[in-house]
Amino acid sequence: VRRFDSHPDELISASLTGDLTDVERREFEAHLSSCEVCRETLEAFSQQRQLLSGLPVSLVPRDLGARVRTGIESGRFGLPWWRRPGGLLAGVASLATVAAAGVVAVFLLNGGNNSSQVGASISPSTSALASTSPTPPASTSVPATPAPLPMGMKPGDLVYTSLTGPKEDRKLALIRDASGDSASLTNPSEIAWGQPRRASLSPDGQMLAFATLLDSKGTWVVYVTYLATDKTIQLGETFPQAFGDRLLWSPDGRYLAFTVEPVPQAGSSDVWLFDRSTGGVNQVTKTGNAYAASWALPENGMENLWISLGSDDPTTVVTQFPAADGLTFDDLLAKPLAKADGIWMPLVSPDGAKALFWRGSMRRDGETGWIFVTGGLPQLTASGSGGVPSWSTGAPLFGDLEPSQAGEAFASGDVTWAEDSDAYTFWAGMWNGTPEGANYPDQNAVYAGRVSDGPLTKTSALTLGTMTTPEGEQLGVVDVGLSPDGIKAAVTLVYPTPEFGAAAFLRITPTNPSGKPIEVGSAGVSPPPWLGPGTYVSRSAAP
Amino acid sequence: VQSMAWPQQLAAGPLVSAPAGDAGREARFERVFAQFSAPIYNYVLRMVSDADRAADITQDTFIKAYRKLDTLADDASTRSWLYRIATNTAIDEIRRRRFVTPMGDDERHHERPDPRPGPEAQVLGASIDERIQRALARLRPNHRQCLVLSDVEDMSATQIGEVMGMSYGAVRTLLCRARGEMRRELQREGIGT
Repeated sequence: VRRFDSHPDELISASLTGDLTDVERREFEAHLSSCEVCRETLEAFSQQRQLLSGLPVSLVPRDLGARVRTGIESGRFGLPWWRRPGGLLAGVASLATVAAAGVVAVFLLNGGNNSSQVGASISPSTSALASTSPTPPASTSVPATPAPLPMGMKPGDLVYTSLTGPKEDRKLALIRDASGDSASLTNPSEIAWGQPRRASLSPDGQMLAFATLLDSKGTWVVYVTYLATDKTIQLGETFPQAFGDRLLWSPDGRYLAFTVEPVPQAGSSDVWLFDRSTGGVNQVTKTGNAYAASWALPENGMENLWISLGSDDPTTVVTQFPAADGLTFDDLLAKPLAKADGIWMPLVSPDGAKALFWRGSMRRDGETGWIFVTGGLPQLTASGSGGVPSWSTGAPLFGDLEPSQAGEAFASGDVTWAEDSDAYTFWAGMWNGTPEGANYPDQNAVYAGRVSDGPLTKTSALTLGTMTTPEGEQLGVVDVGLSPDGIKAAVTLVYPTPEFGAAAFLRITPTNPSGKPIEVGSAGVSPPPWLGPGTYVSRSAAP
Repeated sequence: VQSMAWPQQLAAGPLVSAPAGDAGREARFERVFAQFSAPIYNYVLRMVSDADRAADITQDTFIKAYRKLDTLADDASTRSWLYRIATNTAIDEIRRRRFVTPMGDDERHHERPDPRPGPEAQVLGASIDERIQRALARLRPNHRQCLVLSDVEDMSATQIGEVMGMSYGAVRTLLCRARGEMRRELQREGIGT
């Protein structure tokens, strides 16, 4: 009979539920007869089991059945927690209040040349937001000769947003990681800054697009900043959706494409464009199911934009407009150039030769917008040109994940390309299929790969460091930025704090599997800052 | 001037099509709801210690179950399938609740740290059931979860593994730690040795 080096608590525990093998049971019983401590443990565990099994059973709320039925019919479904404003009930209540008061469809702009085309639905009660001064930016065109990079930035640098200070006096700054140089951003609105959730530098490094979560209203607010002049414009406000979070600079850096759902739970999303040359912003689709997916490469003076259209079987179309003319149109979908049935949200690599995209059958959910029901597996194709992917050569992005029997896989997820068009990451994957082992796939993991290395697997998860705070709070991934060479990822990790609602760590982690993350930032500051998201200066930006 | 060679139709059908509708789907869901709404509600209640939140989570669980009903291979696996959905929904709600508290919500923030007397001081004022539930509520979510599945729901390590997406060995280890932690928490409540 085996002798135990220490008290075999695990066997004691397993014995209570009959989870011992015959051999284990014999060894355990032999040990028990000679060990007082283990007899006490067995007694305590048994008593505990009796106490728990004897807890009174509560009656189910009478209206539960009706609530379930209503929920089924209304399409209630959960957003991933990190996208959610506030608590569950608080969030629902505040959205309902907003809707009831008619303060919806808020879309704000800097005015400028396009005031007749946008903002028709601004409610008077949003005057605090609408008071944004519509002064056109100082620089009215993308300069032909590159301007010096702001803040002493150099190609390949990481810059990140930093939200600090007490809630009544919150400061948002952009920080250059290499030097610690910081430029504070002037808030164009009287409403305090929300938590930064996305950030993207234009290819020339002169413009920052970013989105914040405004917790008090449950909305994302999309901004752009002209870094040279510290001019920030609030482009719009949207209710978060699973696939509606891309901030996409056109390859020439003139236009920003993004998705707006102006009314909570209405499931009406459309694509908007911002033109940095004029400061104008326009809604460019009207179908209510359109999402900004990706730019293809421009050709012959035309910009090419992929737009995905949500439906049970999604479709993606490519649309075109003259790059030099500005936003002189309001319905890009009137004459789509081509379409790809069954394809969802392609993200074209910067060289235009590869794409990450989705296939599957979808469903529109009240809170998340269009998400996958079956077949939701991201795919990668490395054949294509000019931003026209070869869909038929797409292979699953993950080599070791399969849909469940009925086809359930990811409901949604986020992808990022590095500028080298080889490295990419996949993260925030909401897996609905059968788990492939403990915690895989993990919605809080960042999976990093290279086209040249073959598909992602369980071991592609980056080392993110400790995923709890010293107080035991769990961290969650909210954004990932990849360095131009793809060897580093800047990962923004949110955690709850009593003072701030939430704060965030920014960790820079090498994308090789043995890499260890470096934490950016300021320990011991109170209230704790929100650091991130991080975005890298393009290698093609002027030095 | 449009010389770009965009193929006019880049067709590619979905790899997996949605399962066909089932005439018996509604009836099947009604059976599942009738059989499991009470156990699931009580399981979630043990997890979150709050009747309103438990009702919300149970509601979401069954809505998800309805949507996923076609993925349920056979009736024999209904129980672990449903508990898995409930577990994930509860964990998600617990995380969400802790992560994104509204920033302007003073009331909620002032509740921290918990101003109520510590467990020792409350022992005399509470029933044994309340003290057990309180001890349970102080466990880590995954400890609480596997302990409830084992000792309240009477599941084996294999079944718990199916619900929590863990191996048999990992469940045994987790359960042992959970019992140890619960033993200490019960002692704080003046229960057990």
